[in-house]
Amino acid sequence: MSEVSPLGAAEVVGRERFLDLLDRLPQAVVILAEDGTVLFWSSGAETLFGYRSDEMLAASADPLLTPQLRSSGETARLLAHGRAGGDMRDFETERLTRDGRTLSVLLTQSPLRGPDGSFQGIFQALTDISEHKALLRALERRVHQLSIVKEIGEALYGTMDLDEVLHLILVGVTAGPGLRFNRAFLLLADENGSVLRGRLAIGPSDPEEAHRIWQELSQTPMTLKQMLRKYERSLAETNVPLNRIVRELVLTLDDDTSGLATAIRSGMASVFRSEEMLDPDRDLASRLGTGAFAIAPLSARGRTIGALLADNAITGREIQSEDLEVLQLLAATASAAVDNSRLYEELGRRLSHLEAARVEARRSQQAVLRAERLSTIGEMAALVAHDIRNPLAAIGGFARSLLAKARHDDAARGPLGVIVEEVSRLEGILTKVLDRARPEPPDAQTVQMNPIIEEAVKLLEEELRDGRVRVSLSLDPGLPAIAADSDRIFEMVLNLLRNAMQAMPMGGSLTVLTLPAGDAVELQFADTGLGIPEDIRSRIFSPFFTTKPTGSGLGLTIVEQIVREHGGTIDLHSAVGIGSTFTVKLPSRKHEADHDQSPVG
Amino acid sequence: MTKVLLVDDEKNLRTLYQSELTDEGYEVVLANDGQDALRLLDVEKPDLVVLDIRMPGIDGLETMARMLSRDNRLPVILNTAYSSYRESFLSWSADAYVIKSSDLTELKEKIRQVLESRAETEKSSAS
Repeated sequence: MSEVSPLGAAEVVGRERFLDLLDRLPQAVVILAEDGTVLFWSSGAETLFGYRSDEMLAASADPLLTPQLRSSGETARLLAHGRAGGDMRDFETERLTRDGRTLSVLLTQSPLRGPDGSFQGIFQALTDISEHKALLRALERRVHQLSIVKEIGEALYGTMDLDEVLHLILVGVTAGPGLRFNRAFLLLADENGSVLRGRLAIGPSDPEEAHRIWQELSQTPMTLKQMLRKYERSLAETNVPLNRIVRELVLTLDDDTSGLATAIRSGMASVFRSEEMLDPDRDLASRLGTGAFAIAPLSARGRTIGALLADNAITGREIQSEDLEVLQLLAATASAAVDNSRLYEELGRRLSHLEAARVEARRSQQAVLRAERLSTIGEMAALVAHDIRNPLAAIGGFARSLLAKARHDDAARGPLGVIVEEVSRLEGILTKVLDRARPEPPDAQTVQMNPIIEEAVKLLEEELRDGRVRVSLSLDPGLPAIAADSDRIFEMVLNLLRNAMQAMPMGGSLTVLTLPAGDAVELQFADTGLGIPEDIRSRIFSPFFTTKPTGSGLGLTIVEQIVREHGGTIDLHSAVGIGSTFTVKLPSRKHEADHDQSPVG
Repeated sequence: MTKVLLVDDEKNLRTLYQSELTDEGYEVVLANDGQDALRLLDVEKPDLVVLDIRMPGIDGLETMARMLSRDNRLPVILNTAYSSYRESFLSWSADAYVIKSSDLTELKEKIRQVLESRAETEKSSAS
């Protein structure tokens, strides 16, 4: 601040010019004498406050004060401040215009001193910040709303349980920062989507409870989830009346006589007053038992899926437009959450269906496989057929051949004809007999894995020795029995052993492990062979697929088939150059006495 | 001349089939088990293989599988005493499945059909 006082400055530039300058300032410039009367009133002040300069000069500036400011004696305080030599910068206060509007203003003032240094008055510059204030308030409100939405969003994130979602939404409506509403009710659309039914409600049941809850909330900042925990107890135990109310709430959406239904369909949040309502809405309002309530629709993907109803039944507080805005925002968040949760439920249902279908398909497949393979009886029949058919084919075949080549007068024709005939007869009998002996699906026997493995290893003893494959067996003596066809299991083990051998053309070691695994038995065949590269792994069980120079490519296919027949699983772990481990899991037989238990040697 | 590889572990049947098929005009090569058959496959390069299923060592189905993995266009006819293998999916890979009988008419007929249809597909793929 320069040494020259404003009045002194006036002398420097010339009084007229000085006043002219003041007048041109955009702010309202007012100079008050030490007794508070107006010494100067700029045209800016005229425009802002609506009083002309000639009206204000030598008059009191009090008309500009709001009743509150007048009673607090602002003018006196400002003067005192100036007298004490103090400046004021950007002091926020209010002023009344001539036509009764209240303005928010920023006041900057400095004291005026005479040439002798005595206090003469105060020089004030006032700026209208009403518009800014309004914008600021709107911004604050918006930020506040967004933070509510954000918090609800975070609380809902990862919550797919519909009930938890609904609870959180209602907590947000009632107990969220700012305590918007006393009570909130959630209605959801039923299956065909045309009727909304009350599903959940939250709120204190009486003023005492209300006071207690809100007291607690105001003292301890809490997250929505923490609030929910607090509410949950009161909901479950005490709030029977509220729960009863919500269950009675029903709204038919396509009812044109219902103002509520129309409002919901319009998609906008609105406030309803009970006394203005007609049936059928009046009935709903009377169930709620409040004078006014707000309602906001929940919609997703173009359909109405519910509605949020909120009121101030306890405090009776007037529902403001800001409250409605928050409700609308929450309803939007809620819509998405409810929709997601329902989609999630639907997804879960579909997945269970798929799972059930898969299980069913597998069961049918197993039935087909069972019918397909040879049973013990079938195998015996096949053996018999082979043993008899081959000689018959030879006998009859040669006889036919001779017959065909015999001269028509050859005496042998007769006997040969007989042979051919009789052989045909026998073949016919065979066909009839064998076709009747359809392979029966065998009863699942109670089978012990360990002896089968030992037997298979013994069978391949020579081959293993020749191939320089060292076998180590680690068979759990307490291994439970499995329900299986022992021949098929034997075949499976043989194939797995052969497969391991083929993987180790230069020799190596093969480890076979059996161990119980929950309600299954686990078999591991680990070799130190070539390993199976990633890109081939998915194909090794395919028929006729083989990477070896000799080998049908069927061994593992058969293994997989047998595993599947028995309801088991097979897994492969492999590393190229290190080896492979095949792990077979077969369900163990429960509660049966193990007749076949034999000691492991 | 069309060469047929015939695989059967029964000596008498081998003799019978060779006689009968030679009369039909084929050149017949005999094998008495799967291993033998695989060896002869490479050496003789037959135009068609007739396979018994139940044999010592590797059975007919596995022999067929190994043959097919070498050349999956090889015509194979299963000639067996077993009727139940018909239902096994493995046997579907064969071009025909004949149940052994003293009456060789069916076998001869199937051999003829398979060779004929192969000749046709070869012709159409060559053109």
